[in-house]
Amino acid sequence: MGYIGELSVIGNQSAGLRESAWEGFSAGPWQSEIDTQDFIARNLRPWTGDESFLAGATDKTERLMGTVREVLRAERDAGGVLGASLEPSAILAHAPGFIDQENEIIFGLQTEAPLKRAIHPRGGLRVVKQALQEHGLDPLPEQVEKAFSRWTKTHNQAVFDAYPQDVLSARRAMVITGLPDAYGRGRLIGDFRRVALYGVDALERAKLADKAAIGAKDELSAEDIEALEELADQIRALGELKALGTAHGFDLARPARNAKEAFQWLYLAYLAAAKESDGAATSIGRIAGFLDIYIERDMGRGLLDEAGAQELWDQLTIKLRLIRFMRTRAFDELFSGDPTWVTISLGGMGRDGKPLCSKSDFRVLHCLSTLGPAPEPNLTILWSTELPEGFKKFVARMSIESRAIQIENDDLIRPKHGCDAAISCCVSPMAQGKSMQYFGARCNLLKTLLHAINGGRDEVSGDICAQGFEPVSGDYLEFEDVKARFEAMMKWTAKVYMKALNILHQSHDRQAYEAIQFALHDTDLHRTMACGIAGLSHVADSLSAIQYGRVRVIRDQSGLITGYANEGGAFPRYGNNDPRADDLAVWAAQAFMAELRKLKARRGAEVTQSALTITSNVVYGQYTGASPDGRVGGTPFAPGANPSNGAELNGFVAAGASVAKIPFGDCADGISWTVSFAPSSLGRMAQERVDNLSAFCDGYMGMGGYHANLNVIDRATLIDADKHPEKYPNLCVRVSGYCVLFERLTPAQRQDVISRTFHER
Amino acid sequence: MAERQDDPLGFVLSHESAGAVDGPGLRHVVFLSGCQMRCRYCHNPESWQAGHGARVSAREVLSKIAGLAHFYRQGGGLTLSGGEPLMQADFCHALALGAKAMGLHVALDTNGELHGRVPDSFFDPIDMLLLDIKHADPAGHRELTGRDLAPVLDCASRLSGLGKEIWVRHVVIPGRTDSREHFERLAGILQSIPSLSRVDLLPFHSMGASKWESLGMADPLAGVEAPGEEAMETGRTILRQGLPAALVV
Repeated sequence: MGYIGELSVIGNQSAGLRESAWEGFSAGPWQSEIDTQDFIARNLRPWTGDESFLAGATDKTERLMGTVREVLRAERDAGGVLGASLEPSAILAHAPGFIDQENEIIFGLQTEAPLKRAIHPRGGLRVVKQALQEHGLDPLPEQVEKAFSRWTKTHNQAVFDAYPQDVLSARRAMVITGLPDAYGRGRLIGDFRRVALYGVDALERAKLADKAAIGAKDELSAEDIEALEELADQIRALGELKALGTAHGFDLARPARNAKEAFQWLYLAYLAAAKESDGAATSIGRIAGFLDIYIERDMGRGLLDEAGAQELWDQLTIKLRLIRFMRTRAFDELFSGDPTWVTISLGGMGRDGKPLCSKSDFRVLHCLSTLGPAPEPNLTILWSTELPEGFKKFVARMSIESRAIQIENDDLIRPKHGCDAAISCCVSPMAQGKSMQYFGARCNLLKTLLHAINGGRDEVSGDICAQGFEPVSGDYLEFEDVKARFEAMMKWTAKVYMKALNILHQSHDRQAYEAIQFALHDTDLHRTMACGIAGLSHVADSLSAIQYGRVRVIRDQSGLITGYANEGGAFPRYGNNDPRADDLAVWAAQAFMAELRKLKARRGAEVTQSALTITSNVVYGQYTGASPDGRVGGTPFAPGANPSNGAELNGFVAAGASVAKIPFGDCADGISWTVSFAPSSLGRMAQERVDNLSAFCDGYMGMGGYHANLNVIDRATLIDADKHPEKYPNLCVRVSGYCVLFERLTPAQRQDVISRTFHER
Repeated sequence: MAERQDDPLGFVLSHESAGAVDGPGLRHVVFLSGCQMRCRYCHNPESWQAGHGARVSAREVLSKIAGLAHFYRQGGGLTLSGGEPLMQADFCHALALGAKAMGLHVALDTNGELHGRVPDSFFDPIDMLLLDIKHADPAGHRELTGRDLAPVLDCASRLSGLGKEIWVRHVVIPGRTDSREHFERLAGILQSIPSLSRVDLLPFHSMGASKWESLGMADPLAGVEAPGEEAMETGRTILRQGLPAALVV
């Protein structure tokens, strides 16, 4: 915690500026130490009514949106990428850019022009070169190429210098994959609100004090030295943030004095993060209630009306919709459709049982109407059964209309992360500004099972991935035997996985440090090492087939088991609230987590795991052979913690009840469920659909469900959109943890979305 | 499986854990096998034969529901559907009693004809009736379903007398149940049901010949298309005029 009041470096003048910026706010500890949560708790006005107070878009917004639509069309016409700026990105790279300055009320773009992408060669030179080539853009200037090959080492280079043989084998066999060793890890959310509330000078002083305190120790450990260097980076980045403000005509050194400044200050802090790093997720956090406090104060002073408040949110949302990063095709296969995960967390409950949803939480969702639906920002509701009905119903209505909303269980998150938690990326909860995550992508748990059966040989290539294991010898699989082999292989996989993660995050901290993001965190941080699993439903169903059916193995000429035949008839499948299958899914998640927990993660990080695949379920499936549950080799996995496509026979309540059994305690980085409902399955009248969806969310969360991507759409619409994309340019769907324009998905991803289980009646 | 008197056995075709179109709110729907009607537009002709599906005890079914009851206490409940649930009256009664004991709202989705088989006490644990009225004209009803209309209407007036809320469902079939006269006659029938609170007009949808073929039958309404929105709106307007107190959708 940085104390900002006690430092001698505060001049009287800046103290005076601060007090005038805070006039009218309820006083509290937040004034003498950096504590955004305390500020919110003391000042936020919850809104318990419905959406009838909302206003439409202003003329300015309409005009700006007109230009934005043209730029977006140009981007689509150009095949998805509108061009690149070849100056390596940094907080102070690129001159200030504008969309339509006259109609913009919040300034700042990633590069000189909207949708022109920046490059981030610190992460890896090869990736940047490849992306430029794939998109048919100019190659890197020679100087840039030299700078990031001859004179410095990139993150990607450093990681591969250190990876040992077993990590390389596991990576090649696709047991462990999607690792952020060639792209930015994301998964940290700077507390951008601090910049608006305190001004950069105060934050800088707090960091200087933290650095001085470490430097004053008698002895310095390796960790201390690492921290000293990082703090220097953070302080430098804060200086650059001020300069970014100056370039746009703002004095970020001091706190924001009104709502418009608060939006601008916060956005520039966010923009600095997006310019500095190309994290797979660049989430913005829980900002609605915070900014609402400024709006309410301005309204009380007669400076702002509802239309003006909506204008601020619309214009910020436009900026967030334009965030872009340069990605390769390989990235697109893992995370399809050009997502940026500008995840914004709404709703949730406060420490005193008071709801934290403000009128601005409504306004953020209302942008889907004022600006039309779009996949970003990634609208995430921290759902509590205690939230006001008016908000729940509005969420349900907007979800049905837009398919742009996901919900996460605030009643599970709050006890662990407190009342100021936000979601990073898809499902990762963290206390904003107080914790960050070392993102570990995921391990292919189904392949781990298949390797266990094959004694460490890969069922697709036949190569030995894990040394020292024996394959199953008989013709039929015995449950206890397979379970024991699976446990042994999970141990091996976990060990190799943790080695890879420790290596790559050490490198990331050194070679691609997110200085401005960390500057907006407490110096004393809680870290998590976030592992993940893919293929959970197929593991559960495969174990169930072995236990309740009779599974014969099919070997090729070399003795490799490449197929399975179930001769025992139907077996229970995960997704029907049948404990026989569901317990196997729970067991598998817990067993792998138990192995991970035994291992040490760098910098004292707490080891966690997620059941989330993003869209990599398709690629994972492609590289994974047939499995005992009857899944055909090469076909996609069910995403996240979803039951397998078509396994759910009793409707979405039973399916949700199965998913809700996967324990949050053992999947503390989130359990993702993507559910698709035909509109008619929710009721005949619009209001019934809203009521039933809201009741369902309450029921699912009340049972301990963690996350749901809600898709209300007919399969026929998707099939038509696949054939005639031009008819549906703005069709959004939610995939595992984010929202995407359907037409931007790869053909394989589109097929996967279409072949999901649809709950229809 | 031995049948215990307090835990009757029955035949269940399937469960829908998330029914949103079979009564108010989010509901668990149990589809019971067996039906005495032979409706020409039936979506589930495989449900006609008694003894189809899984043979299970009421307790087993109730334990399945109990695990999810949480979802159904927010304005939803349990719906007993079919087939025709009154074909398995004892089993139905045990399910309704069990669901009531869990605090659930219970709806019975029936064509009404067989109500005479059960005493008034059968309906004690049942909160509402979803009554299918297939045709407003006795001859038309017989032609369409193979059975009489009168006992269906008796059921409505009996349950109304017992104070049970009633929702009526009626399928609009082009050329059969979509004329103005038909809707007017239907409105007349519905006016005589005091506890009627809602009418759902449902457009006929062909399930296609393949489903009938797979059961070795010819689709009796082959070639009939779904009604247009205009016919549906005509029906709703006539019913709304005749039934100002009910919701017509």
